[in-house]
Amino acid sequence: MKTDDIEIVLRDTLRSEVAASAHRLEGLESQIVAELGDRLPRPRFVDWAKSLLAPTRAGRIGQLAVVGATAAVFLIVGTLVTPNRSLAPTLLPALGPAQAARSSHEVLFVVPALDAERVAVVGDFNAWEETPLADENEDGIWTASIPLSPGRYEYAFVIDGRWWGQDPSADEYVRTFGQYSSVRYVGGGGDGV
Amino acid sequence: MRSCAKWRIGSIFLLALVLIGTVGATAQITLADFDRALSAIPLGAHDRILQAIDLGLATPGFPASGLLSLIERLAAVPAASEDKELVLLLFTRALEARMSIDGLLPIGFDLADALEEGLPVEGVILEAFKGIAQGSPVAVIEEGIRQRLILLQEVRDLLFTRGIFRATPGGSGSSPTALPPARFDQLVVQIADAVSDYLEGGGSPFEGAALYALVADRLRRLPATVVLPEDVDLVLDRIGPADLTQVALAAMT
Repeated sequence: MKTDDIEIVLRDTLRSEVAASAHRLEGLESQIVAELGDRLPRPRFVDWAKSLLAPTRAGRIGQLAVVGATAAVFLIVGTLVTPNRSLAPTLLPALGPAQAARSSHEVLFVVPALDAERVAVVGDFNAWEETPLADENEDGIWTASIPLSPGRYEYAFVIDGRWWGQDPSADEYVRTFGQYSSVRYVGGGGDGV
Repeated sequence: MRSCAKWRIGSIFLLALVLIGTVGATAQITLADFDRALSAIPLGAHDRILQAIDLGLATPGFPASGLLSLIERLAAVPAASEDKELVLLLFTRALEARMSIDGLLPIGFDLADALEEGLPVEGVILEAFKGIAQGSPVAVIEEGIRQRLILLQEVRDLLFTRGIFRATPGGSGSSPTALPPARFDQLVVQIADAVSDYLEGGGSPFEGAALYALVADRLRRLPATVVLPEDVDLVLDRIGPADLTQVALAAMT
């Protein structure tokens, strides 16, 4: 078989594969938008505050809870503010709760993986240990929302055990040990979240 | 003739004794020894580390004495226990991934030395975690980590020569270029990381302008909570492309 023939066969095969899968990509963008939109509504702080101020027993219990929670926050902040520790995001899983307490950005990780059975994200923020993504409505769009403090984070997706380091929504990419990883800047001057 | 034979038998007997002694000493290292050694360091992941070592002990050729020496070395290093734990977690991850830790042991001791020197090694260890997660060969990870450790030292020394210092805790701090330790360390970490990424991405150390541009871009994109803009201005004002070329070359040789 000539090279030209091989190219034609390859092209035809690819075209038929794309045509066969095209229906699965229809409305993908609107699905992602809808999914992101679903995540937005959260209990409004104003409504919650109003319920606390209401002259009911529940309201009074709530007021006590707020006082307790405020004291707890002060205690936690007091223990976290220690001199001579790096300003970098703390990345040990063992220190996870401390990081979460300092986090100010919910960063959404989204990856389309139509036939995947298991998708996870690994990165600086979880010390490169897998945090699973979910595909709740089984549309092939896997998501995870992770609270991160401002900083620069390298990450990659692991789709059915395979490294997938070039997220289109990344700010940049780096190549380490021969494989790509994505980078996001969270907060501050970067283009990230 | 007869005395020669006796001499030979004696030598063989002595050699056998030495061999038995060596094997015995290695075999004597048990999980309890590791447990005891680990107890000298306050660890959040003590059980996980011990579990991984248990896994290793069941593997033929496991360098038990080497790892035990490393743990004892780490316990003696005057550094934050979180950093020591990161070093131990590197071995834990490798053992969990069924990797041979022979090649990683020298790196463990290098990391202990770096901790003793006060170098900020957290980012370097995270790179090793990344390598393990990628399934990279130990030799490749070892090489990458060694390069990053050299870069940390070189960048720190470069800043020193340019008059940017790490203020000693409790010092007077009268010089505006004597930065608090955390701020100084962040500069070192971020510059070293950018140079390393540049080199690993195939960049030439001789293209100093490109290297400088990458470092400047990295520093300027970081949020102010990580690196202060005035620190970025200070460092970019005092170092140039040729300095970064020198730093990169030092890490490559």
